[in-house]
Amino acid sequence: MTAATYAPARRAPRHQPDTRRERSAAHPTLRVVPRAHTRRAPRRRRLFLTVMTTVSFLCLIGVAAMQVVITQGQFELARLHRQAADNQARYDRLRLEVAELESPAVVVATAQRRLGMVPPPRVVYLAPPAARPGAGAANAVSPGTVTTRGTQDQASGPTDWSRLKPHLAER
Amino acid sequence: MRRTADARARRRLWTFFVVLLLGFAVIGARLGQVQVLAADRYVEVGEQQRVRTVVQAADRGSIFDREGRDLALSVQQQTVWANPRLVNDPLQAAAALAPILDVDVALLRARLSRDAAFVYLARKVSDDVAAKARALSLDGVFFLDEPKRFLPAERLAAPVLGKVGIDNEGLSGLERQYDTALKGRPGLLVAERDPHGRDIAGGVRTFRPSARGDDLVLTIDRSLQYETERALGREIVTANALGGIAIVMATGTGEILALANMTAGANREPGAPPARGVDPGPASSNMAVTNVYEPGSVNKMITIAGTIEEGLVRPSDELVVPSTIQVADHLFSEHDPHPTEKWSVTEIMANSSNVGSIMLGQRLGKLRLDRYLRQFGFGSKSGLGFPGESSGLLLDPKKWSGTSLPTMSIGQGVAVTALQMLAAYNTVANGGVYVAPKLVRSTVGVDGAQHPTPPSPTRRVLSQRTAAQVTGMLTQVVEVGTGKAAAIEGYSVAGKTGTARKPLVGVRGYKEGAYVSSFAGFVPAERPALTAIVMMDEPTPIYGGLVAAPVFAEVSRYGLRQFRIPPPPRTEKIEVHEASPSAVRDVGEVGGRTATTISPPAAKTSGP
Repeated sequence: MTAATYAPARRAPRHQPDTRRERSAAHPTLRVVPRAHTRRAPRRRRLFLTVMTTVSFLCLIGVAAMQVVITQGQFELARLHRQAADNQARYDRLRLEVAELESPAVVVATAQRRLGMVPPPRVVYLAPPAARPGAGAANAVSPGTVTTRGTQDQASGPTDWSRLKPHLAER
Repeated sequence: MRRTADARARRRLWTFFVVLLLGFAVIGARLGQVQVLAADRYVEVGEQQRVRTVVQAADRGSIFDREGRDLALSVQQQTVWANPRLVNDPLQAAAALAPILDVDVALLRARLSRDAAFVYLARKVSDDVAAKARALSLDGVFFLDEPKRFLPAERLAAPVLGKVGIDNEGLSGLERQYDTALKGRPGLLVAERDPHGRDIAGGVRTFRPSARGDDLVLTIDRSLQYETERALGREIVTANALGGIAIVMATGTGEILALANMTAGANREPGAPPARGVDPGPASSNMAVTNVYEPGSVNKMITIAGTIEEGLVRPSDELVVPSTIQVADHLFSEHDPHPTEKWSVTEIMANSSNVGSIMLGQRLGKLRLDRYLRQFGFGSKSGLGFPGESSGLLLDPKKWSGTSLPTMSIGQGVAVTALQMLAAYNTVANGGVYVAPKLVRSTVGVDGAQHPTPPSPTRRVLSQRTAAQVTGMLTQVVEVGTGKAAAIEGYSVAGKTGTARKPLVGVRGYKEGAYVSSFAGFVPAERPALTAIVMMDEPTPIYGGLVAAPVFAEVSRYGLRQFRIPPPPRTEKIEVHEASPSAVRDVGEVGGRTATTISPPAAKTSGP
């Protein structure tokens, strides 16, 4: 009695593998995945995404920062260029000013205006007696004299050297 | 009902989709056209808007004297320019700028109204003017730096230095001759800039810096140049002359130490008649090199040197010299009539005798005279390379007339520059060796390295003995002859006076009463260190011995002190055949024919 009752029930599992095979062919075998595994994949992804986002953000920040640095450098470069040009121009102007102040015409004019210099009507040059050449010059003066310049000035006559010398030594 | 609404919505969606698609298609097509088909053009347009190419003018090299003192230098000045498209009210802007820039309002307005992006308003204005213009803060008005040429010693040696144009190109003088070296290489800046002219950070930026031009170091000494110009200018006033030239040269090297070209009325308006004896100042050109004149008696030195070199006469040989001499159809006479006398060659030189010189010239002959004139540097350029330098005028002997020999013997019928005549006297001073004149000592590169110019070429013209004999004769000119005013205390001076008639311009003949007076010589005669020439244009009195010789003495005296040239020791003497004081006349001389001598004879001729 009981056998009759259980027999179909026991057979049924025998046929089950075929049924399962058929079923598994239609539907993939499903199994319960451990919880730890189910969490790992999203976490990695999330971590990856986070890292990538952070890196990207940092890169953007870095690029922006670099751009700022470059811009600042560019401004600094332009400022230095301007400063160099200004200094060069200032140097040139000062050099011109020095050259102008040094020019003989300005020196003479300044000496006349500020120091009261009066240009002499004629310049007296002193000729050391030992150096006087001996070639018989008609207008040569005897040794030991101081002459005035130019033959047109000869009328003023020679001056005694020994009289002038002490005054020269005082200078 | 519901089905109808759905269909309508679907149609709307399709319509929107199609419109959207068409819109994108149009945008895509335009994108393709801009980015692919016309990409080059738009890239170019974009670059034109952003990329600015600025040519930066190179700093022009400076010009120094022999001691490194500035004679010409460039300094940055502000140039005012405008972009008329950015100027809102041209009339108002012009009215505001005109008094500051000292430019006519109408002219400024016209410039500010032009259809252009760049117009100059005023170039290279002073800093004060630029500051005032900047303070107006006018829209569309901008400023840029440009180098401007300055002569710090005012107009000292200005005709030698020359002029520079508004764009820094050499126009005349040394500025032109050495323009390539002086101007340097312009720089180039390529940069992306925003509409305000500021550099775009990270944009395209290439910069090739400009290379400064080389500096020139001249042989001129600034102090001597000043004294030379001062002395010459004073003599122009004293002698009521039209102008004058003075050159001082270092005997051994041919280096020009001072080169003064002065004219009366230097500040007169262009086109105004020539002034005489007033307001002397630098001439507009370097006349000493570019203008020729008939030298007159200073040329007799060459005639006499040639005859001595050829062994035809000695300084002591005597000739019977009458007061006139007939050659071909002309009667040549002395400037001061005298009885027929026996004069030594030295006395002929000391007296500056026309007749005696003609007689010596006849002994020399035309071919040899021509050869000596050319060997002394006449008829060819000096080698200075100065712009506009003249070769002088020297006829081919084949074209000489019957009177060419006598006229050239006394320095007429030949035209030379003052520099050529100076070089001729320098030849005697150098013991018979011609030394080409030199004006530039060296160039200095950007790296500061100095590149000396090659030494002046030389050639022997006279033997040392002849040169010494001629030197002795020239000292007699100064000691007892016509050039006494050139004497310098403590030194022995050798030189020769000249007073030549001035030819008419464009027609044959000479200008009545107009003379060019000169003195050329060197000092110390025993050991020459300085050679100089002074030339006065139409002075009063006319004699070179009275107007040019004193300037020679004054300038040489200063030069001797400036360069610390002591008198030679007594042991050094010159070979001199002394002229007899009784045979020498006191005043000056006049070379060439006078109006009265062109008529037929009545001649007293004598001598071989």
